[in-house]
Amino acid sequence: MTKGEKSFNDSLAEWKLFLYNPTTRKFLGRTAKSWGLILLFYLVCDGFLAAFFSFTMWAMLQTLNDEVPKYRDQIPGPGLLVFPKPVTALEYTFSVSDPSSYEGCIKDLKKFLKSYSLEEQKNLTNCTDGVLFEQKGPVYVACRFADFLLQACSGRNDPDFGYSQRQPYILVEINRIIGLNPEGSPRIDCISKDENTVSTYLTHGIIDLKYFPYYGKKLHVS
Amino acid sequence: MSRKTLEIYSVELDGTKDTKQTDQEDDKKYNDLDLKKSHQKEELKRELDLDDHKLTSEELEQKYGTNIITGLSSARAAEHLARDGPNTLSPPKQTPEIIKFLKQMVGGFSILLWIGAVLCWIAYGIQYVNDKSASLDSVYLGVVLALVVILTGIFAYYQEAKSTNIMASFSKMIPQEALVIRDSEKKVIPAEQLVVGDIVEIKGGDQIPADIRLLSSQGCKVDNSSLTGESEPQPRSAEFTHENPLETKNIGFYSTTCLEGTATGVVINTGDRTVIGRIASLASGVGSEKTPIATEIEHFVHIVAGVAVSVGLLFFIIAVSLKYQVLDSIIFLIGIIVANVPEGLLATVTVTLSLTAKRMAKKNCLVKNLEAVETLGSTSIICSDKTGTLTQNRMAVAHLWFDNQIFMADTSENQLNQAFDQSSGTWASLSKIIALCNRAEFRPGQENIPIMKKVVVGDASETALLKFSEVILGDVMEIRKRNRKVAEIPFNSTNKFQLSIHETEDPEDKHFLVVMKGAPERILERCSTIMINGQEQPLGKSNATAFHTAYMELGGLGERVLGFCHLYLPEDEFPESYPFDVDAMNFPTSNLCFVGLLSMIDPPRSTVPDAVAKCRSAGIKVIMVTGDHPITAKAVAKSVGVISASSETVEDIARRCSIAVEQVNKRDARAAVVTGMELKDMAPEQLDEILANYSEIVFARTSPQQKLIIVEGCQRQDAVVAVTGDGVNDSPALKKADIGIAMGIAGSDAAKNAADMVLLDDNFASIVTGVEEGRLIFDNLKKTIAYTLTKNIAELCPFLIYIIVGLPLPIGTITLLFIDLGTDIIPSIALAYEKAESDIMNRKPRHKKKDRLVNHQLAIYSYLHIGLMQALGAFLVYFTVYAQQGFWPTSLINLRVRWEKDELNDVEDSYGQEWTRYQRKYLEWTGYTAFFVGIMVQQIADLIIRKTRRNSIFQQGLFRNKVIWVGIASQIIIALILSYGLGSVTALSFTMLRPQYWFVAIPHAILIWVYDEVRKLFIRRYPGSWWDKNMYY
Repeated sequence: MTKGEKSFNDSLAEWKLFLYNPTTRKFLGRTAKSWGLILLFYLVCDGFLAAFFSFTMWAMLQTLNDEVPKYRDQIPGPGLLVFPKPVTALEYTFSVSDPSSYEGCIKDLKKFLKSYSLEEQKNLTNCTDGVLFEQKGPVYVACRFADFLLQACSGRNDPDFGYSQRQPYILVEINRIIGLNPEGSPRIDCISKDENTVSTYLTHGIIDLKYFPYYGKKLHVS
Repeated sequence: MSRKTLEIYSVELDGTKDTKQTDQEDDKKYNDLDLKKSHQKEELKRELDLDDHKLTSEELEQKYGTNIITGLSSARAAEHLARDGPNTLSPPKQTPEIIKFLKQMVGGFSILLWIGAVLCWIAYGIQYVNDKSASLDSVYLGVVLALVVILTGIFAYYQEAKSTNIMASFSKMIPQEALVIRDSEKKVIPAEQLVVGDIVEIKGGDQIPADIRLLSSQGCKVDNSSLTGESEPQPRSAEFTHENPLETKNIGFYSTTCLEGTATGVVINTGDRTVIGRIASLASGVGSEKTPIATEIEHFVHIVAGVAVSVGLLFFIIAVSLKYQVLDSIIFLIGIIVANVPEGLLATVTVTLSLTAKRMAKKNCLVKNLEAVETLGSTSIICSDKTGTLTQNRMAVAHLWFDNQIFMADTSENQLNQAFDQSSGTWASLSKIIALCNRAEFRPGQENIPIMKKVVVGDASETALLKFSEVILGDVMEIRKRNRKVAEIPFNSTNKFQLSIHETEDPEDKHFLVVMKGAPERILERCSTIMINGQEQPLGKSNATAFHTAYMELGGLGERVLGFCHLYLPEDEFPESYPFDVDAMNFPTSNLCFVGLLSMIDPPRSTVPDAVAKCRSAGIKVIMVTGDHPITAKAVAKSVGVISASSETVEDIARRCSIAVEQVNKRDARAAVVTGMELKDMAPEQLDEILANYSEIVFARTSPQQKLIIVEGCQRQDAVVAVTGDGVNDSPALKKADIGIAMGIAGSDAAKNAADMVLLDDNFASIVTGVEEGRLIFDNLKKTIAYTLTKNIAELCPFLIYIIVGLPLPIGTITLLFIDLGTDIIPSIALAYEKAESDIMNRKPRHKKKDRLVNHQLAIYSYLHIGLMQALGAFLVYFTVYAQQGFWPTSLINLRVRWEKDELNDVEDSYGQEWTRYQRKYLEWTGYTAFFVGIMVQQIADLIIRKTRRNSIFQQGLFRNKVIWVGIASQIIIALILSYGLGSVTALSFTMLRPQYWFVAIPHAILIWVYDEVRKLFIRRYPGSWWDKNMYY
């Protein structure tokens, strides 16, 4: 490291010799045989390590349940999703007169609502309103939530989702969480920051208990 | 007047011009120095332009404005003091504190971390430009990195300052004082307040406080050895005797000692302007070598920094080509750098070194420069002084000859009795002469002090004789009282004998006893009879031959031989009232009865032969350098083992085979005694040849300047050289040596300043214990570094996997710092307390260029073996946490982009649950904590395996080093606090981890231990094998 006094050519020659030394037939300081040995050693060694790691991972995976995660403490409450997806943080800006400024939003909403159309949901169960839809298996079914429930927001009557009338619709979705059994009637309140009124669809923002609980992806097909 | 003074006293330092036209004197003193090479050394050749010795007292008075009787006035003295400054040698130029501090800030890994910090801020800048609401995370990280650098820098600076302070307090321990005449009054003032023109009085035992021109003297003798290397006392008087100021008798030099007598003189130079001050300040010009451990650490820093930068850049390029944004890539780069740099390591090394320095201080090695701790361990040649270092620095009776027989006396430091045969009548007579014919006396008031430690007034030989007889006969002063002295002739150089006449202790016996001692041949001349077995016999030819044989034999041992004789005066000729007159010599001084011979030597310290043997088995060459006579030097060298019993010099072989010295095959001789005269005429190549070919070398009659040449010769052999020294003139050699060792008791301040280490007890054996500590610390530093480097891979892999496979980030940059600067610190210091694995004093000193602190075996084994295992173990804990929360390992692949999108609040796990950004973030932190705990648990195993490099842990003892367990406990406690105590502080990104996750990595920890035991087993089983070569670090 302290080769300050050596000339550049010297150190270059030294490097070349290190790279390949024709007299000792050493490549990077090792002969071919030596390289072979060390590579073989690492092959064996790392093979063993890989096997060991695979074994411990396998053992760990044995502790898992296919249907329900072992712990659910880190998602105690469901998160809410907002559509259309805001570009930055949670603010939307668009100009009514310029359809291209909200075009993306409408696309987003349409895409989201596609899976909630009647055709898509026709195989799903019609559940009893107002009670938890507890199931015992072995086959778990999903409740129907068709877009007509969203009334005006469904976009059936208004392909612009109100954006052109300065009354944009925003959809809020509640995250799926296994085993979430809400008490009372879960509801989402929408409050306006200024005097404008906000109308909530699904009466009073109440989400019907029949959509709870969720039994996990494997059992509970939606 | 002051201006004139300066002109007269200018000491001209001329490097190039003077090389050829050398003054005769300078030639004699300094041409030993290798002039061709070093400019600084040429400066040592200086012309001393001093003419005060030629002036008369009146001229001196006029020149300095002083008065010989009344001295300077206080006002004038204060004036001079203000003009010239205090009379002290200014310490060697020190690097300003701020520079030292800044050096700590940019040295080692600091640069890398600064780069990391700056990159953080740049990254934030870019983010901020794009989006005003960008998170401040990278700003914080940058601040944290900068703080890490500053704090570790402050810490290292503080450690260094602390060790310097020990030294500063040490040198201030004994303030020197001077007796000065000012305002017609005698005053004792601190020597540093002396000024030019002061009239000072000195007496035996004093150190001369400044350069003085003597005005009067009574039997004053000085020891100029610290200046010239000649240890013979030199008389000093007021007469001008020589043109050369160094040779003339009427100048006394600063820091030399007055041995006996008194003198008065006028101060002509103070402080740095003194002759000694000139030499000392020039010594600081001799370049100090970089310490081996500094080189090693630099080497190590380069390796680690090289890995960090190349991996960082490689993955930066990979990241960019994987279409990551440049900004993200920069953040990856920072993560990789932080993961690779062992932030706490250099601080740990400093602590480790200072712990050893403390331990060495307890063993009488005071280390001034922390790095010198290790230098001592890699020492391969020790150039040692003789007097005081190898020997006890006192005279002691070594042999006696009486009844035609040589007896050996005990010369150890704490003798309580002498074991030789004392039944003979001759001994009774001899012991009486020894006790009586002696002017030395114990200083009163020392009744309870052991004999050997009592202070004696008298010269070295007389002291030795007094103590010798006190040990054998008991109270000598009482014996002298009973045998009252009636007359005495003290020793002088013309007579070469000492004589005294005593009454006998038997009150009935009215004989007077004449006792005499002196140079053996002179004593024998005065004898006509000899005492054998208590009977007086005529001194025949056979007796005389026996005497000569014994004399030659003792002389050949390098000992100072004295002869003893006595005579009972006839009662009729010398009645009780006889007036003895020593000037008229009205009593017989010939035809005495010869009693015996006695020889004295400065005996070797009793611990030294063992220490020298230890050095030899440790592969360290011990070279003795002394100003003494070759015969004495060789005798001492033989008695301490510097020349072993079986070795012969060329001259020895020549004598044994009775052939000429030139005919001896030089290869047969292992030992050599080289004198300063021979050395002077030697070319460097010849010196190299001697140093390379002889394993046991003694340099005798050398001047302190020649030490420098010897040191340079040794360094040309690629050796790490330790040099001991005490005189001011040793300071260039001390500076030049890889480790300069100054004597704490006999050493001058200049020597202590130039040295890296101070030997508090002046004992050679302490050097050897120092060597042992130095070697141990090198081994233990290897362990510390191996321990610290291992987790680098476990810290690095998360980033690499994150970039390439796209897992949610397994561990955050800040979390890494908690390992590097939190859990890992105490354990890595604990390794410094590890005991040696085998006898470290039985192996060769490490080769400066081949045995590196961090070799590629260490790096590869730490990185690619244990480090890899650790990384896998930590990933296991990470995967466990994610899987048990719902994200199976397979679902994590390429999840990164969706995972980190702030607006995405429905990332689906393997069970169909949807996670918001905040929930994911919290899970990510749990992952950090899990990964952190995984590394911590495996670092415990790593710590245990690093206790040894070759032996099994069970051979070393799992519990012998208690500090290791303190380290393990600290690791666990810190981790517990971080997880459970600070788990709720979001900024630290720790969470409370389920208890069972702490145990997930244990199988990997056990694997690490077992794997390393297997490695060590094979190393022990098959030494020299392929395994040994590749796996032993």
